[in-house]
Order: sequence, then C-alpha cells, then structure tokens
Amino acid sequence: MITQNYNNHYIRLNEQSHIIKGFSDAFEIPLETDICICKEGVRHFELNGVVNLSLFDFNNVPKYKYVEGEILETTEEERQVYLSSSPQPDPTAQDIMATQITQLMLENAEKEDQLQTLANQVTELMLGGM
Amino acid sequence: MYAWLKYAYPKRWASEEQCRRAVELNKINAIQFKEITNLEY
Repeated sequence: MITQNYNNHYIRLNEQSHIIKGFSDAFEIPLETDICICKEGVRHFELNGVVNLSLFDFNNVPKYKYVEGEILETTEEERQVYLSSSPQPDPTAQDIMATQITQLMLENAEKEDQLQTLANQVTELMLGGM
Repeated sequence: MYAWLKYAYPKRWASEEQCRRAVELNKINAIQFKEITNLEY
C-alpha cells in the first residue's frame, strides 16, 4: 500500500497583511503567527498552482496580500505606496549612473529646445530681411 | 525618453519633477506622464 505524505503550506504577513513569505513545513517550522493555507500540499510551497512562486516584484514589493481568508494580488496603487514608504538602501553605482542618465537626457532635451528656438529666430530674421 | 522614464521612475532613477520637466519639453505627453507616475499632470 502506497502512503501519501502531505505537507502544510504557510504564509507569513507583514503589518499591512502583505504576504512576505511562503513555505512548506517540509523545510521550516512555522511560527504561531504564520497562517496555514493548505493542509494537503506537496513538498514545496505552492500558490496558484505554481511551485515556489516569487512573492515579490522586481522592485522587491509584495505581489500578494491576505484579506479575510483570501489571497489577492496587491494593486498597482498599493505597490506604489509600499515602495514610497519603504526605507531605501544606499544607492549603488548602477543607481547613481542611471540617475545621471536621466539628468543628462533632460539637459540634452533642454539644449535641443534652446537650439530649436534659436534656429526659429534666425530663420525669422533671415526671412524678415529678404 | 518615455521608455527610459517608464523604466527608471519605479526604480527612483527619475523623479516626479523630472517627469514633469519632460512634459514641458514635449518629450512625453500628459497621458504618458500619468502612465509613468500614476499621478495627474
């Protein structure tokens, strides 16, 4: 007779009810505050049919929240609020260069704008003098 | 510039003020500004 071993799957929330961790008890003992979302799970944590799904987006913002027993995706607005209220680490060399790119693009655009204005003035003068 | 700001803004490589300046310089329009920042221009 083949026996099936199941695992419990848990989620851990932050104060805003965002899901910040998901795991199976095959690998970790849950805290009292962790919430069991599946009692007959596979060995690895699974959410929405995906094993070891990433719970954070590319900005490290939680993609899911737990509301009244339901797991929902966080909205774009909620993600922006989370991002703007999170403490930011010191900027990396990449951050500094990327910020400079933005600044240079705008300066370049301003110079283009000034050049166009000058070109228009010269054209008007030349046409006016003819 | 739109593509760069869309990519850079969520990473804080571009500020709201810089996005507003891009609109003033006609590099992006008000609709694109909202798409990037989620704010009204």
